[in-house]
Formats: sequence, structure tokens, C-alpha cells
Amino acid sequence: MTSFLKQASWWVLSIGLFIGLWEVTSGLGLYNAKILPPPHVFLPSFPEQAMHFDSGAKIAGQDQASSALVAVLSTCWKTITRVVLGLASGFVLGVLVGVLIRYYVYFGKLALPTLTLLAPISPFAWLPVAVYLFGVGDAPAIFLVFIAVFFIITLATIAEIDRVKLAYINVARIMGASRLQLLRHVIVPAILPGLFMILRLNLFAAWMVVLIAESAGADSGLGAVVMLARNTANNELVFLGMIVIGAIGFVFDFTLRQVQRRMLYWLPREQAALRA
Amino acid sequence: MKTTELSATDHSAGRATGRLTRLVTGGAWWCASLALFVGIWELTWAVGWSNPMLMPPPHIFLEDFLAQGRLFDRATRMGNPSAVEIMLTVLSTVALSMMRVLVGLAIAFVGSLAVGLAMRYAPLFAKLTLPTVNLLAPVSPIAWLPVAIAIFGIGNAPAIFLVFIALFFIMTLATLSLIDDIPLEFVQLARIMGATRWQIFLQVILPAILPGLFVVMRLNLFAAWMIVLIAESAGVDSGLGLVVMVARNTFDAQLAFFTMTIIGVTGYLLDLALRQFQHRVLYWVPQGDRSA
Repeated sequence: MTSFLKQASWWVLSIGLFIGLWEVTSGLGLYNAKILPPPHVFLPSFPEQAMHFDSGAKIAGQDQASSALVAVLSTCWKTITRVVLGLASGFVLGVLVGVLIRYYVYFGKLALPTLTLLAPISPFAWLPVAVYLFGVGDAPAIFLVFIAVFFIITLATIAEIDRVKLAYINVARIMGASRLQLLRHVIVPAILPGLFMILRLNLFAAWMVVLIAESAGADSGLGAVVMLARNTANNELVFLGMIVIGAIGFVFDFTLRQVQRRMLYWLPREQAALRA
Repeated sequence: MKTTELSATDHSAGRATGRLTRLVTGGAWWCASLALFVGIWELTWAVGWSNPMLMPPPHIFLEDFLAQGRLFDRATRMGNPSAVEIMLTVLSTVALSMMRVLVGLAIAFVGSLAVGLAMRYAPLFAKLTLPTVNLLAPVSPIAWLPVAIAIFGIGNAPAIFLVFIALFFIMTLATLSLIDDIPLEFVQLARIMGATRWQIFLQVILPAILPGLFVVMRLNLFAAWMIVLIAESAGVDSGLGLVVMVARNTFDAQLAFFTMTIIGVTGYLLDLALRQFQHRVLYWVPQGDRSA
């Protein structure tokens, strides 16, 4: 309990120092407070800025006081569902294709070079294609997250399968395991920990891609709010957007870490943590 | 896969010819794979399933290299530039984007190494800064974009700043966890042999954490490469990111696919170069442990 209190007080002190420096430098007039508004300026403006999160309230000016929180939450919810759908489909399909490539030699030989060439194309370069193919709305955003995850997970699955110890496979074979049993009881448990780590590292990229897609191809979501803030030079909204995005990113990473710990129960604790 | 490698090392006499045949068959499979991919694409176009205005097949968007290339920079968009000028424009656009990534990468690498080490060498500094770093790390670089433009205006600086932001916090946290992962025996042994703090740092800690840090950097190169394109589309008036935005805003699908090709090739080369660099610099790591 005391160690927890100590830890918490260091957190408060650290963040207090950061905010204090920000407030002092802006109080001394070292830079324009319009461009870099200090926290005591942009935090209280939250209720009035919150209406920018919702495209309906922006125009109609409905009763904003009650709908401010709702607008923010619904915007976050939209962005989160897009990331989760893209991540899930990219992960599942990536693992599937990776396993197929290693199980069916000819499929692998035909598919792998093309995948290797497509992988380094930045998701941002796919943006025009996503908009041509899917128009405007949820689909291009989900597609871009999928693209950002799929190729990496496919290549990672192959690398992980190649790294499964030959002795494991030999033992399973000697004990008479079928190919499917080999996959289910040896290969999948052996590759999942590494894949989860890669997924967590790429969560960051996926989270960035969805914001880009929203700023260009969807008229809702946090990315659209960031772009609105940039285009209207509304720096209070910029910093509020950063806080919301940072908080959600933090929660996301934390959740995935918990999921990883629960699902990978066969690993010792220290190994389950992210080493990289 | 593994058995062929084993037999190849057993018979050292047949190694050279074995490697050659493997190279040739590998190359043939690459060609077959690409041909299949391009073939399906071309076929859907020929049959008329895909609209060439939206999904132009490779022979359309690659044959007009010069017409696409001239759109890469404002200087060649107008008038009647020669083929050489257009090629130079494309190359200089790629070089500009690459330069921004590499400068940001270098600053972030050095900065995060310095801050991470300072945190572990001076506990008070760590206690004061680590919580803030932890809070700032999950803020997506794209949310920093308006801030970067507000602070640095338009030009190279915001793009480099965003690459730096995309890498710095993650790599600082990675440096910390890598230092914590160093087996205690290494440090104790060095102490017993009378090493000073500086010697321990240079000859124990640095060689122990550099390999991991390089892997983290390579994994995040992808994010850095993406963020530079975004920054260019919003805050710089040159570079590949701007070309992507031009393609999107003018609905020029040919330009979009052409740019994708160039971005893919550049990204691949960048990763390859970094992997080679890693090999050269980290000579003390055994060959097998180097990959991510």
C-alpha cells in the first residue's frame, strides 16, 4: 500500500512538473498562447469544444450541455470499432494465410513473393485506393487497418512457424499426431505468443492508420476531429483531441496486454510480458 | 526447407552449384508469383470486371511513366520537361522523403538511448520523467501533426519532428526494458574485475542493449515511413506524401498506383539497408539471433 502511494505520488509529481513547465513558459510569454495553449486554458473549454466531435451538433446547435459527453463518446466508439474490426480481420486472415503458405508448398511459392512485395507499401499509399474502392464511410477505414496489420502478421506467422523447434514437431509425429493435431496442439501454441507481441507493436500503427483514414475518407471519428481542428486552427481542440487519443491508446494497449496474459496461460509470467 | 540447408552444408563441394540452382529456382518462383498476381489483375481488366479509371492494371499505370513522373513536383508539372528532368524529379522526391525519415530516425535513436540511459543512471530523473513519457507514448503521431505545424510551420522541420515523435517515446521505453533485461551477472562480473561505471556502460550495457534496440527501430521504421508521408501531405510542399494526396484529390488512379509502386520499392530498400547496417554494426551477435 505504501509503495503504491509512493508510486502514485511520483506520477503526480512528474505530470505536475511537466504541466508546470508548460504553464510557466507560457505565463512568461515565451511563446504564443494561441498556438500552444496551456492546460488551464484548453481543459475548461472542453464542454464547448465537445460539440465539434459530433457532425450533427456542429450545425444544429442542439442542447449541447447534455450531449457534449455523448458526442465525444460516440465519436470514440466509432473509431474504436473500426480499429477492432480491422485488427481482428487482419490478425485472423494473416494467421490463416501464413499457415496455408507453410502447409501447402505450392501455394506458398506462388503467394509469398507477391506478399513480400506488397508488405512494404505504406498503408497511407493505399488510402486513395481504399477511397476509390469503398467510397466514404466505415469501409475504407477498416480496410486500411486491415492492410496495415495483414501483411505484417502473415510474414510474422511464417517466420514464427519456421522457428518452432524441430524436436517438438518430431515428438508429435512420433506419437502419431495427424497434420491437424500438429497444427492445433503444437504449432499454434508455439507461434501465438510471438504473434501477440507483433500485434501489440503494430497496434500503434493501426491506431495511426485509422486516424488517417478518418481524416480523409470518413466524416466521423477522432481523425476527422483532428483534421477539423487543424483546418480551423483551433488549437484548444487539438490538445483535447490529443488527450482523448492518448487515453484511448493507453487503454487499448493495456487491454491487449491483459488479453495476452489470459489467453497465453501456458507461458511463464515473465515471458508473457513484452520484451522488445 | 531445413533439411535442404543441412545437406547443403554437409557437402561443401556441391555447395556452390547448390546455391546457384537454389537462386535460380527461387527467382523463377518469384517471377511466377508476380506474373500470377499481375495476370489476375490484367485479366479482370480485360474481361471488364474492374473499372480502369479506378483500378488501372499495371501495364496502363507503368507505361506512362513520364506522364506520372512529371506530377511529382511543381517545377515539372507545367511546361515541357525532358525525360531526364522528370526522372530527376522522381528521384529527388524519393530522396527528400527518405532524408526526412533518416534524420528523424537518427535523432530519435540517439535521443532515446541518451534519455533511457540517463533514467537508469539517475533514479531521480527517471522518477520525474518516466510517468510523463508513459502518458505521452500512446498519443498517436497524427494527433501531434497540428502541433508540429503550429510550432515548426511548413517545411522539413515538422516532418522530421513527427518521425522523431513516432519513435522517441517507444524507443525510450524499449531502452529501459532492455537495460532491465541485462543479466545481473554481466554487470557483477565486470564490477568484480574492477570496471568503472564508464567501462561498464561502454563494454557491457551498450553491447547488450544495441541488438534489441535495432530490432525495435526496424519494427517501427514502418510507422516512421508512414508518418513522414502524412506529414508531407499536410505540412510540406514536396515529397511522396504530397503526391499521394494529389492523386487522391484529383482522382488520378494511375498516379496513385504508380506512387504505391514507388513507395513499396523505397520501403523495401530502406528495410534492406537497415538490416545490412544492423549486420555490419552488430558484429558480435551470432548470425541466427539477428532477425526480428
